[in-house]
Amino acid sequence: MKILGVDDDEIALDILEAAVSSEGYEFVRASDGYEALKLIQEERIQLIISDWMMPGLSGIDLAKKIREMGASSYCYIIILTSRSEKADLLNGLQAGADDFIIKPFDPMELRLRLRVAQRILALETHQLTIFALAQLADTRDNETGNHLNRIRLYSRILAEHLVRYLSGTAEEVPADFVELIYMTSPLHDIGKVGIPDCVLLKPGRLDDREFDIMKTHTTLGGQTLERAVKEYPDVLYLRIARDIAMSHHERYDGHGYPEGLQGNNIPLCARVVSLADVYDALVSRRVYKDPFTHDVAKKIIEEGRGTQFDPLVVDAFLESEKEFLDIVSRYSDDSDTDAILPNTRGAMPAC
Amino acid sequence: MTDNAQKDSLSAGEYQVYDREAFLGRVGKNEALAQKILLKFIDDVPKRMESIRGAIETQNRDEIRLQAHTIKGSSRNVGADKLGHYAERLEKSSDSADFALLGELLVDVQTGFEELKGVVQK
Repeated sequence: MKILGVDDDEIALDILEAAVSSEGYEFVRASDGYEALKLIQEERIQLIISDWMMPGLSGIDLAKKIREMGASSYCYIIILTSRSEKADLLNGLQAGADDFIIKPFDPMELRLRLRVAQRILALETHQLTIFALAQLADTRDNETGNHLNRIRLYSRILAEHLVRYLSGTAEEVPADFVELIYMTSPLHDIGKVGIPDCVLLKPGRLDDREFDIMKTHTTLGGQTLERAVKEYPDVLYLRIARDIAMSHHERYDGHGYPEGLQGNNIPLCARVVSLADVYDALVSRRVYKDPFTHDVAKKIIEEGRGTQFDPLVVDAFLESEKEFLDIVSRYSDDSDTDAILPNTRGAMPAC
Repeated sequence: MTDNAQKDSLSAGEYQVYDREAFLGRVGKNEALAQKILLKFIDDVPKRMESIRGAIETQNRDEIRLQAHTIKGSSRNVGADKLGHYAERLEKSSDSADFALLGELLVDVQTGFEELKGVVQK
């Protein structure tokens, strides 16, 4: 892993380089914040150790600028400081720093904090892998990379409202529900990998038999993830992913599939993704339809309140209309800027 | 953090002039490298003290603070705790104290530096 050290004091950089290199990391250096920003754009830097007080950009200004740049992969930022006041540290965290090391650093502490950084960066890599695999599954039915981005963003907004609505009620919501749904919602259609091309890619209307086959994408995805749940029953992430894949086509009135679950028997995460998925289908272009306007989609969702959708989830949607519209415009299929995979639209032969 | 907090409450006499072990620990016990960095440090500090002297004359508090801050940081890095303490006093006073006092605090930094050179050369 490559670590960028930023300090206007060359001697401090020499010592940091010695410490970091003796741990087996590659080290590059910048003598001020602007040079650091330039290096970040040119090289793949995953971790930065920056002094706080420097002429020009301070370490905190640098952290802020890096977060504003919104790089495609996460950059972990450690600030070296002689400040230990709580208010200073809070300011630093708010600006986007991940950790602090008090100067002069203790070599053992530096080693341990670098390990923490590596663990966090590894988690981020896992999440990217999961998202890429979900996108791979989606390319089979010509979805774009942005569809999954929109789904996870809609789902996160809805979840934020639901956590608020449900606090203090009988319905239990996991502590990190919002983050979990953001991470797992892209897996909702993963079972489509198992649907034969002649059904999945059929240009016309599906007949009853074909539609029955199509519906099995829920159980195929659900069962695949269920095997992982059996292996690791304590991992909430997997249980939520399974529930979403299995139940995102259930309806609140019990007329959905695959199990015909009703009301709150449908897992909360699936009730959320169900609305997010339907909204996205309504406002997106399909081979068989032009995109509906937001107002038309909103009307259809309001009409489904208590029948197709959980009334609370509809309320959350109505409260966050502005954010939904913002996501639609920022992550439109036309822009499709975040697609990891090459576009395979039209490349899949139909049978 | 506890160590630093404890150090803050010490008077100058209680700081080590040169904590060689701590310095070596920070550079992965590489003695040759430690020697190289220390020589660079001993070459660098007088230039910064000279900048501070000039900044006291031109009454440039920002420059005094920045140079004192850098001397403090690198002193502590190379295990020159006592010099780091003097530099910290100068840094902390740079915003408020009158320039005559800042001049006296600079003399402390210079004395601390000479003391360090004496110990290191041994």
